Amino acid sequence: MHPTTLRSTLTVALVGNPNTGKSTLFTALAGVRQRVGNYPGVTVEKKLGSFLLDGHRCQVVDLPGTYSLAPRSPDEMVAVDVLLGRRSDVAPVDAVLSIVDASNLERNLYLLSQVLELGLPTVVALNMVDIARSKGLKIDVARLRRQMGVPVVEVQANRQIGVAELKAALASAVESGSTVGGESPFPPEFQREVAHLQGVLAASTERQSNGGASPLPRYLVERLLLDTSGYLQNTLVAHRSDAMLGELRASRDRLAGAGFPVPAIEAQSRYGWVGRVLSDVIARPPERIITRSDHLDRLLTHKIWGTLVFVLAMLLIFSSVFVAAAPLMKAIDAVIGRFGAVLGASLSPGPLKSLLVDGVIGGVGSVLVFLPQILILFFFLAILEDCGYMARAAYLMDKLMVHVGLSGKSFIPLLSSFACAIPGVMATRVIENRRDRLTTILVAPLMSCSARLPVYTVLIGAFVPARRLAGGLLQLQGLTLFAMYLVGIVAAAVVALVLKKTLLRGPTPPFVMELPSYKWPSPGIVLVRMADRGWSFVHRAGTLILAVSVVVWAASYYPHRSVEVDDTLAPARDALAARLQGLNENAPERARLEPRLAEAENAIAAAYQRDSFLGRMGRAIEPAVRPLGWDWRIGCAAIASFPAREVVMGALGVIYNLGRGLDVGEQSDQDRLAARMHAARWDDSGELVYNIPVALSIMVFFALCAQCASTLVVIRRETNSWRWPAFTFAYMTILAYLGALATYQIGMRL
Amino acid sequence: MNFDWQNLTVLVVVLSAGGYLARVAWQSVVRRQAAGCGSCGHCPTSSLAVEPRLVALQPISGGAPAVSQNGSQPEAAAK
Amino acid sequence: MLADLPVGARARVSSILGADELSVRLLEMGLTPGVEVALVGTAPLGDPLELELRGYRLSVRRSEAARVQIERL
Repeated sequence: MHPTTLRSTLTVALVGNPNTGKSTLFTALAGVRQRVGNYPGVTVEKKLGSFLLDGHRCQVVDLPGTYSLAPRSPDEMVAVDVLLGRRSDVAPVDAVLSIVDASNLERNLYLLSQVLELGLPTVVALNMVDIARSKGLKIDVARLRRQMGVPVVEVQANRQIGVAELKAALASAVESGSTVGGESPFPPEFQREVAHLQGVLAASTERQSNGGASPLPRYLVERLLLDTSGYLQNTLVAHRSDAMLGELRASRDRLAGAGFPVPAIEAQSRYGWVGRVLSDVIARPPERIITRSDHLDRLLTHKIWGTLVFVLAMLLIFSSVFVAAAPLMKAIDAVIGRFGAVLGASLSPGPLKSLLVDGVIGGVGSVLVFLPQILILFFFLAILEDCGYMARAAYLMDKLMVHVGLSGKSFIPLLSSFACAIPGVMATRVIENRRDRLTTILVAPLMSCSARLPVYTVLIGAFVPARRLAGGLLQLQGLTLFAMYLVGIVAAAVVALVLKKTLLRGPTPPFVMELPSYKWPSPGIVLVRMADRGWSFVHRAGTLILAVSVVVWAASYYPHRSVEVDDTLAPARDALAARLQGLNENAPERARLEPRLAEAENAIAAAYQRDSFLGRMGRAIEPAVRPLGWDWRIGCAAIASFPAREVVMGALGVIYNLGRGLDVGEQSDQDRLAARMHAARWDDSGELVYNIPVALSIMVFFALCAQCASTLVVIRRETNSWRWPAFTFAYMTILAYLGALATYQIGMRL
Repeated sequence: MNFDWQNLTVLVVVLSAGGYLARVAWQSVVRRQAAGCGSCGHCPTSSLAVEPRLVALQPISGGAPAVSQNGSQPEAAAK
Repeated sequence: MLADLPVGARARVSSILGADELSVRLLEMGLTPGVEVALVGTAPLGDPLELELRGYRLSVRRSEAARVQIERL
């Protein structure tokens, strides 16, 4: 009996090139119930699913899409380690499911030739047969199967065609445990060098560990010989091994002497194998058929039309993110408000009510309001990705992004961040280079997201005169708003350049990228991806962001004691309440007294806020924010807005006696807040706090600061470490402080 | 009277929220020391979660007298 | 050099210069000696280039294409 048939759970690894429909096949096999996590220490996403195979639970591991199993970084090493059973967090792989794009077989089989060398039972899923057919290619599958010596199953993952046959082929491959031909694509000279190195390694391993450690698999020895980047040497070869490095060098020299230079020999040998395997398999039309995809590509990468379509597509996405999301956001806001009101009415006044209404509903609600925007953005991103336009966008924008040390692949993530940094940060997954990806993640929150808009609009409306410039063509208020967006863009460009020159320095990653054929996006995949990412956002809002909101609420509520309240405000309120109580329902005096009662309540709320831990913190940092032109109230509001920056206006509203529940989306509330700000005076000198430089300094601060717990949490999730969100918060806060300082100090001297 | 139970509930909620945040932060400090080194492409941080099956490569090339400088081969000799 | 190929022209790869990550990447993507490539076009800003080889489309920057030695066909 074969050992694998005894195990109750089987493990299958899904490997394939990007753009082969790998995630579609994964969903077709395992359904939408997928477990997504991270491999410790790297930024690679770990995706697991399961299905029933011959009565056995079969676990599928979706490995990141790659063109080659030639690890040059810890992230790339994950796939190889999973396949070779070298990871403790993934069960050893029983079989490999390799998906290949039938319309692009040559290049796809390169990866397969590496997979076959691992010596695992392998099944090939031949996907996109329809696209191959539209290109006029005829594939002799039986012949391919014979020449490769591996089961090949035709599938159309997006239509669930061939999935049952695929499962049957997997079952029999696991059952027989048959490893594939094992015929090495390399010339005998190379194989001899590998055998030699393997011997050297085995001998030294035995000596070192008394035979306890298992020898390095042949595939990794090959890689060691082929890897000129030095990554594998450092990873696989322990210290003090100069002699071994000498062995490696000698082997490479011998190979070069024999006419097989490393690393070119790998591609030569493998493409040679591909050529042999594919001989007489593909019948091509005599004339190359110009497909619809070709026509589309000519249009979409055209100098003028391509640019135009790109700009229009981005405009369409953005306008729908803002326009279509607006009613939904309003609805969510209304539901949350209603929920808060009902809850508030059913609870007696006290800390619990305040916690639930102001802390939990106020905090998490202010984040959840952005869910429609995030979902719509994810929807479009998923479409762009699935139809093949994402790669074209990177292609079109690459030259632009090279100037800031990034590549075209960073463009869409950064653009998305103008709506919300969360989908922006998550969209960086298309960037395979780690340094580029980190740089993009770190600067994405500098883009002015939609949560900054209320801050800008309130302050601009209140303090920037509505003056027309340049003969009425330009409007000062609009110009200021534009300048705020520009501040973020310029800061992002500078930070990206600095990061790429210092912390994330390294060779420019290659922009050698496939431009996949266009295809209709599959609605299922788009919806699954949107729901998946939307859910992970909601999940986080329900855990970490909730916890942060509760803690910040506690800081702004406690100790809930104030001498001022006890001595004057509370008695005054009680007196008013008693007078109102004594009046009958429609006494004319009511109309006069009720607003006064509300004002007294607001004054009490403000007094409590002042004496809360948060208020004390605000006052403690006043010396630090004074150079920005801020009094302690603004400092306090800035701290209170740590969970979400749009909270700052509401926090200012509380401080300025407007009570909780100020809605800066409403014009009347905006005007009330603006009036209070205009009247605010310094506690000590009695001078007005706000003027244009102060308003600008607040805006610049909020343009650059990292006051968004959700973004920081998403950065943690994507980088798999708290180090990067901590760094983001630190650098952005320093940048925001310096920016605000410069704005105020220069503004006051003009 | 309801002041007391409200305060108590709130205290529990706030403490658990604080505790949760502290735990998450602490875990990330303890568990992921090696995580996120983006600055160096050559650092030998192994991505292996298992006790790394590294092999120390030592000179044993054909016939070379393996007089290693560290002299740490008694086990090998014993074999 | 591949970088100097006019749009629409075809060529045969003769060799790839260098042994670093970029060369490996070019080789892996199928730009091996002997393979035929065509320059389909360039991005609106003049860079990168869009190539066709082995039945698919590949995008490379001009600076990267300079590594690819070719013979015009």
